[in-house]
Amino acid sequence: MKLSLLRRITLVAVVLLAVAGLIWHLGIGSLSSFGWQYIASICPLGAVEIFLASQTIFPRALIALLLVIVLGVLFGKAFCSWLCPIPPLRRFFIRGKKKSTNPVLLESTAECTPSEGCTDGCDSCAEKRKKLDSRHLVLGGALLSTVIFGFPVFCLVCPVGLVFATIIAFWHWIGFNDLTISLVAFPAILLVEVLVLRKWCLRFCPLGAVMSLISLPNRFFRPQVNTSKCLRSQGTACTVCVDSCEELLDPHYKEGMHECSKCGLCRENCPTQAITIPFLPAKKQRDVAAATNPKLTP
Amino acid sequence: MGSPEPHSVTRRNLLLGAAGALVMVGLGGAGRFAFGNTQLLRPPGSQGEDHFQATCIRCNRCVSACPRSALAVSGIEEGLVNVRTPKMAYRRGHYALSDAEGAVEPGQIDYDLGMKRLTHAQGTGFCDFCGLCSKNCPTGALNSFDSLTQWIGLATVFQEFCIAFDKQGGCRKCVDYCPFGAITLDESLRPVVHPEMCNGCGVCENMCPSSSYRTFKGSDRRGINIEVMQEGRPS
Repeated sequence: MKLSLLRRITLVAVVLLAVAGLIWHLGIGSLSSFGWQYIASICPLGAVEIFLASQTIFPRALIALLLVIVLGVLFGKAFCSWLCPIPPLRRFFIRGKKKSTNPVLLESTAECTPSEGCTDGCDSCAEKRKKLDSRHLVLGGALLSTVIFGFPVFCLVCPVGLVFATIIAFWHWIGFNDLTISLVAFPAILLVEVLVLRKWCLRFCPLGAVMSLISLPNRFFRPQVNTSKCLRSQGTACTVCVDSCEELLDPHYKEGMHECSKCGLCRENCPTQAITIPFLPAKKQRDVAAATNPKLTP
Repeated sequence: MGSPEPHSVTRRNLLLGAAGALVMVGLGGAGRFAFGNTQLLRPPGSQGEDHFQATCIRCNRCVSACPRSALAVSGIEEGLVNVRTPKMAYRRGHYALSDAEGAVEPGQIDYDLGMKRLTHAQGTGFCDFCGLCSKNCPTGALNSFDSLTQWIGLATVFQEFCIAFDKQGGCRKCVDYCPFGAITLDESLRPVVHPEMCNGCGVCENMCPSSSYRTFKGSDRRGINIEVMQEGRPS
């Protein structure tokens, strides 16, 4: 089964679970905190915010946060492509800007052919993501504001929370005739974030920033390029994997790979099936690459 | 597709991040000082409004868990700081007395019988202190609640809409339905709330017929409402 289909099913299942919890009063909650009574996950940003706002560490929230950190180390930023409803929402509203995933193979025109050994700052191939960027500044601002004003500030505009708050508002409208401004206000704030701030995920989302920090030690499920199969080893400047990556990563490089959201698009779109997503990183990948890549052998 | 390196710390990136951070600080200030004034009736087990606002992550699991559907999600009209926080909603569906449990005489304190009456009742839109909201709260925003000594709020008669104030002896629904017998009639047959017996379960507000019979203009208040109380419950 394709990972993209599996991801869609996962997200639909999460939303349906949240709705079922609402209808049958199961208290499953939503992505902000998912679980059964005392056993639950928690939004890591929300947890840090309430610790700062109340200057208290709550054991229940701390245990839930540790659970989320373990999940983050195991699965990296998988939340962003598997559970977060915002990217599909963006794709729904912003159509026609879908990146080409056809295996159009560009002939090598650049001076530098991207390869395993390339570490200098050549613009044509350097898609390295730094550990900190604008999202982390937004995160810092949110946390600072939380400390100053004493309540979790980002929660007010959190798009993930607003998706589920909108669902709840609609359910209460249907079930109890609760006609509130929230029915319009929540989707409106959400749409501003998704449509006006088009690069929300890449540039602003402080939740993504937290996830990227938690994912720093992650080494599992990272895309691995079999460089002997990769077209780049034959001198073709193929960038299909980079172009299909929502996180603008190049699986050929280790740098910035903690940002990988394990969506599997690079693997699906690779014209030569050179990319795998193994649980453990393969050893001696570089040596194999050097041996089979004529460009790298001096 | 714009700049080739959207994630390295370029000047543009720095500016965007700084702008976002400023918006966050501004949002916090606006939430705290500009429009955050509405006092809301919080779920049982909240430890004061400041603590609640600081610790609620707005996950709405309590709202989802409430078997009586007595919790609603606050909107922006309740104040920016309260957005997505839970509040009590006592107007949903109705309370249905279970006749098997006997009745508490108004004014007579029989807490156990009152709780039995409340928990055995059918219907939605009131609190029977089941504690599922605090069990599902992932943070310290909701703690355990003792319905004998604490209160969600206090039932308060709103004379303008109360039918008994308009027409003597016109209505005694709240008196008859209060599970704890906390409401009695005075000599003019008007309801009087005894604060030491009221824990804010919301049955009186839920059953009050004033929005059908009196508030023709439409109102978010009824003849009797559970009001926010800051000070402790008298014993």
